[in-house]
Amino acid sequence: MTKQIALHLLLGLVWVLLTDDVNLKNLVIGLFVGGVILWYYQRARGSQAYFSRLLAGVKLCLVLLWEQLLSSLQVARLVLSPRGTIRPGIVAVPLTVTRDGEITTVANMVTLTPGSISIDVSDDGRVLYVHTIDVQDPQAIVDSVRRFEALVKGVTGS
Amino acid sequence: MSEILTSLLILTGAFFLLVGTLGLLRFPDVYNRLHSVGKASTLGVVSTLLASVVYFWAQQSTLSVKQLAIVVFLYMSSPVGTHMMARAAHLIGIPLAKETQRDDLKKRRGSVPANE
Repeated sequence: MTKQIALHLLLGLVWVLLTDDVNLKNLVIGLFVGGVILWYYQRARGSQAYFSRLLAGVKLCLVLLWEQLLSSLQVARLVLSPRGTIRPGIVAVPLTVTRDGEITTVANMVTLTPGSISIDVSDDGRVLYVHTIDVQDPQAIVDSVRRFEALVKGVTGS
Repeated sequence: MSEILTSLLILTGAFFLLVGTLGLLRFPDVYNRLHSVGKASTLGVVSTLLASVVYFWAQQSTLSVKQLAIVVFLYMSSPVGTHMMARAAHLIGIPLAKETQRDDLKKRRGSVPANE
């Protein structure tokens, strides 16, 4: 995986050097051309792992942006509603991802999603403690964590 | 066209910054306040930065990479900061608001009072 990322960046860099004009536009074009070359190369070898993971990464970013917008709107609704009825609480969510990087990413995504921020991870890394602004439906929090775990696993390939 | 988009982005940013700040005043305890700052205010700053990107794209047709880099770093640092503040608050035993319904973390630490 690391080798393929390095190769992709190298191909992009070669394009920039060949065009003899160092700017962002050329780098983007170079990365695109490098991607096409890598794609053909990998198709010949019968493996598409790099690109499915690249796509999973793009999907993860888009989902994150959308969730951030939703959560900000939810905060806005709570702040602007005249009756301030909130039922906060801390819920323990068991994790299925195991690597440190995966846990960090999931915890950060939880912080950006509607109604929940991650407070702590148990020492063995199996349980994520989430503070939620509305504890009425704990299953919804577990569901959203499961969804993020699936997205992150798509990127890391575990 | 670009003026309308720029204005819309700035207004959206201002709205979310206002909401995030109002949340600081309205929510009862540090954990709920972090909700409003960590989400609404982040989006407010990002929206304002995007307005700047659109403006300079239209005016000077240059892509402001600096602003986009700030957005990326903000998305990396903001959730970490929010998480660290919430964790530190819970570790030193800052009490949860009296509206709090449950605290699964307390069972593990066994020392944090559930209400004020």
